[in-house]
Amino acid sequence: MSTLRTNALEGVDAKNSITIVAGAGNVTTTNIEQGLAKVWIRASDAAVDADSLNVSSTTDNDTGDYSYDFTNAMNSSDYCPTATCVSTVPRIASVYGASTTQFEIRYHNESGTDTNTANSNMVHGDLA
Amino acid sequence: MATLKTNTLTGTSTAGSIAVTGEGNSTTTNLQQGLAKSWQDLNGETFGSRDSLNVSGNTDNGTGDYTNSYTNNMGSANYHFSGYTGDPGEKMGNFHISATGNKLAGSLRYQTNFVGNTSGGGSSMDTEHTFVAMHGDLA
Repeated sequence: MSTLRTNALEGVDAKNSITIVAGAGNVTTTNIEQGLAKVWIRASDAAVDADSLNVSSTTDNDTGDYSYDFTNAMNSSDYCPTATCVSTVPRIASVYGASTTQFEIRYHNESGTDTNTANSNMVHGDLA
Repeated sequence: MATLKTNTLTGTSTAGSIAVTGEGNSTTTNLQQGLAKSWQDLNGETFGSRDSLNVSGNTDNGTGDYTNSYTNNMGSANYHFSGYTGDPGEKMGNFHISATGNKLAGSLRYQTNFVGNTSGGGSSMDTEHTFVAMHGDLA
């Protein structure tokens, strides 16, 4: 096994683009930067940050209504957040707002009632 | 700080496998396995992709019923996907796969609908945003 040691990776032709061979066939490529999660957070039902990446602050807006601010902004609001409740009972997440600097999610139960829940969220997309 | 500049990374022993040291500085994880292989922000109301990775096209199968096709196929149908909806002002419900066979190596067909007790009564609905991300092995 060969080990390459470095602290940072950077594309040559484009600083923000490195192609990597991936897949079972060892042929297909994908893009490292595009594939990396840009934000993730595991938060309590009061939006307390247990652990996270690229989250500068959190806000408990209302019952089941949380906002997460980014340390480094996304380049547009057209990114892909995904969210899951951490609960023993069913909770459903919906994005209520997404900007370059934060996203807001709301959780409700199966009857549509806003409900607090611990939550886990992730963002894929392009950084600014 | 050492910065490695390159356009492409390829594993030495196995082209599609590179190990990186984890945050705890003791264990390793696999770089390729950790990357999302596809993601998308799709406008289900006007039916258009806002931004995506590895999505060659979308099909509007009906109300709240969409298919994503991949540019580069997954290695099998056994990949992970996560998805949910965003539609300010609406309380959306399930993001789900309604039939066996709708999750394939080359595509994913999924449905979105209201929660049960809103005015939508659990019916299918086109959403302003559908967000889907896939992790797993490319072909």
